[in-house]
Amino acid sequence: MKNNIQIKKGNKLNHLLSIDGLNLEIIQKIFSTADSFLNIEKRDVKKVPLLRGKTVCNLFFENSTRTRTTFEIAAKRLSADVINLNIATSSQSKGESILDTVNNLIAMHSDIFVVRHNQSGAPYFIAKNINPDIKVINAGDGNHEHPTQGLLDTYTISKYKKDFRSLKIAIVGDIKHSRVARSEIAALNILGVPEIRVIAPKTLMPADVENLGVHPYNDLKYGLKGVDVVMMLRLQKERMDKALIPSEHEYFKTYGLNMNILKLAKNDVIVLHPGPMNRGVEIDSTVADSKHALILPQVSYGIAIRMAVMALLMEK
Amino acid sequence: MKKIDLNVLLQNFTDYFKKIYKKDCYAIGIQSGGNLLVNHLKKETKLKECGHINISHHRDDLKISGFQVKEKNTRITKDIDNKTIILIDDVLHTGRTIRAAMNEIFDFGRPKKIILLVLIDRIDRELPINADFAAYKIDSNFKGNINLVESNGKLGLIIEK
Amino acid sequence: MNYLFKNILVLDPYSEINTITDVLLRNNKIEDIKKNISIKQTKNTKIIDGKDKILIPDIVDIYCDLKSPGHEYKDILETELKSALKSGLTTLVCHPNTEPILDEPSLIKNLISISKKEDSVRVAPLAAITKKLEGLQLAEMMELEQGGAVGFSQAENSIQDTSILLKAFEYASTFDFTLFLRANESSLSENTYANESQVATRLGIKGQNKLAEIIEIQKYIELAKLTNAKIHISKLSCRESIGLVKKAKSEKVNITCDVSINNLTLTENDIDNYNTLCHLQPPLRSVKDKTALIQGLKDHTIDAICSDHCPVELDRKQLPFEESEPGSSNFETFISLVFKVANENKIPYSEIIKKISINPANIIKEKYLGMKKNTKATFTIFDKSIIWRPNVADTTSSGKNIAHQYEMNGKVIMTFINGKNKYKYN
Repeated sequence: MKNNIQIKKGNKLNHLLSIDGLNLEIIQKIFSTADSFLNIEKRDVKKVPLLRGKTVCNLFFENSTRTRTTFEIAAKRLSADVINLNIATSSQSKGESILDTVNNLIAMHSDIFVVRHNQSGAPYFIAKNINPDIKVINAGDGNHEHPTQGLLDTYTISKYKKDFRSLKIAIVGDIKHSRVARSEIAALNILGVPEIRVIAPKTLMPADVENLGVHPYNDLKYGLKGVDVVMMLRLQKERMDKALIPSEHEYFKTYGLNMNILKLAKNDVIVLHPGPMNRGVEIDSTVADSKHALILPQVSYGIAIRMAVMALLMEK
Repeated sequence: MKKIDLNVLLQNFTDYFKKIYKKDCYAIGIQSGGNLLVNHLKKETKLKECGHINISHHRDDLKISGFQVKEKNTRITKDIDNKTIILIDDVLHTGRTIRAAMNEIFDFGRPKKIILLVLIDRIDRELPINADFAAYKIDSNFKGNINLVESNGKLGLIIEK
Repeated sequence: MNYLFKNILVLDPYSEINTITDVLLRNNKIEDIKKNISIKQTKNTKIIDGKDKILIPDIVDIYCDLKSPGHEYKDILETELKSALKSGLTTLVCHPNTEPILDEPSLIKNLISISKKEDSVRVAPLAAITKKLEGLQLAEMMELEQGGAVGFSQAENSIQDTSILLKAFEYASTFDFTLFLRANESSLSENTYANESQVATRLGIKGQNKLAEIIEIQKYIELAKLTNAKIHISKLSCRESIGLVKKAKSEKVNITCDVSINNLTLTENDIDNYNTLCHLQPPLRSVKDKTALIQGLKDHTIDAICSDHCPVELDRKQLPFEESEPGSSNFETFISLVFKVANENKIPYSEIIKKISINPANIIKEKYLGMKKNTKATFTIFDKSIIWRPNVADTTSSGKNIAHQYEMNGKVIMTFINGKNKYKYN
């Protein structure tokens, strides 16, 4: 992004709207801060007081209990107060503009807005138009980005693989509509991964995807050859309605990850999935339950990453 | 300021530690100067098991100096309930670091007692906290920085006026 | 009041004068155009130094949206006409997507009479091809033409049913009417908000494939070949479209086309940071497309440049990108931008001026007389030396949504209508 409102003086995080526009130093700082929050749940007191007296407002224009919960846990571990607001987009689109909605909420004196919206760029729009003391975290916007998911996925990789600069990584699934994919691609590029592959049928591949710094593959077998990490994307059911793929069954046959295909990757390959998984659609149970799959560890890393982002946003 | 002989201070510090260290005690160093002292004590005394503390989660100056996580995470290796904690730091100045360190300790349990040992006491306090022992005291006119560091396995004092 | 312009650059595509000369306007009529005119200076005569100034006769904008919604019809129309006057645009080809839609002769007559009453810029309305622009039933074209429609258009809408489109072509051809068409295949362009390419991909904005324009143009060309209808394609935006039109012209298809000033000056990179001011229709395309459009201007494939003026309330721009309304308020920057395009691409002024005067006039079948002697001339004076920046406060148009947020070189300083000075800067 050209004018970057995400970063303030001293290369500090001002908002987290997209991975696109961040830099290596900031991502490394988020990772090292997340390290400091690991295992807090094992202590006698499962909280740190960094955000005591602060209010985090989960502003969800699109429902997602899972994502909202992880932000809520993260905020509470930092001793912040949490307000959860689910604003159905249907009622919002009738009249009240997103800015009116947000301005009404400012009266609640929130310090951080965690925003999920079905419109790409909505968190950016909010950040640009509100009081600069309020920090915005994008928790997923349209087909744009889901930056904390991208951070937690790469953070997870950093726990299992030594050096990003020697990895081959494949992202498999609906690249076109996936905000997770965009965040992952941006993060992997900043971290210096020399070979990022995206694997999807042409109907699920966005235009000019090479410009994001990836190599597109239409064939799963070719794409997985020799990779260190496979990042799976969830296939949304509604994709079938718009004739993007014929059926789940056919998708599983052509792009589903099973043990046989996974053998083409390196022996110590790791498999990530943002969850919830569609077993038998994008991933076979034998893979999902294998030693390669890192689906559960990702959850606790996710809380640490979100804590780190919130703590860093409160820096002056 | 008079010239400080670090070796003498370390000797006094070690002697005091030996005097008070008992079986139910648990030594904890504060990052990073306090940790260096704990390592020194490990070499010079019978001290074996100890912990260290990273106070960044309890800092009260997030809005001023930002978030520092360059150091290692807090590590407390055993149950500290009803233990006597010997808290060790290189320099005691405003008292804010000790406040944060005590809060961090209490997140891990409820010690019976906390004793504070420092190498240098700068007297100029902002909180009602005092050391049980200080090997050296600097008067409050000193406005510079003073820190314990390690280089090539040797301890040294950096004094910036 | 009589006016003598001394040493002014006259660009008249009618008489093909493109030199620095003197122009005498007496009793609202062009009395003389030649070097070294000298007259006695009286109280009634204003002598204007032509240094840095350019005189352009009757500027025709072939695509603009006057909105004029509902009961505010007259108010908004007046404001937009005032804005056009200030911008030196003296003939406005207005498309029928107004409220109410221009599909009845009375509405066309009414619109023309309002603009006449104002003794201001002339409105040349295009009537709807199909009733309510729905693409289902043909409007009463003959009667609409007699009411004053200069052609027929679907504005931003397309006719989805090809059999109805064919009938529109056949019927228009019967009476030699011109069809003004946007190339915008609806199933491919619905719910799209930008060019489908790297920028939209990165921002996660649903993009429009160029195919939406290309296949529609191919369809229009085939229909025009078959029916011999006269067609004008509005607002081309893709490189491939230029090739198609060029080929059709060489095959003597009755086809003309224009390009929006937006697509000549901006690219898809301008939508970065979700800049809703640059949310436009057609979407801003790639740098390559822009280069091809400029080439199309040079080789005469593109006949005209339109302002694509589209006033939108700022509230409708203060929204997430995809929810915002497309359009840019372009009257007041238009002439400055046309000269910018000429300067940056080394297009002779005399050539580019044709694209906003005689060519569009021919497309709407108007007689273009330029600065013909002894006529009550309509013309605009542009001063190259004024440097300015568009801003909300100085914008007359009801639309404060200006995509072109950068410094402009040159500004319209006077507009003459039928020999009368109707606007003067400062």
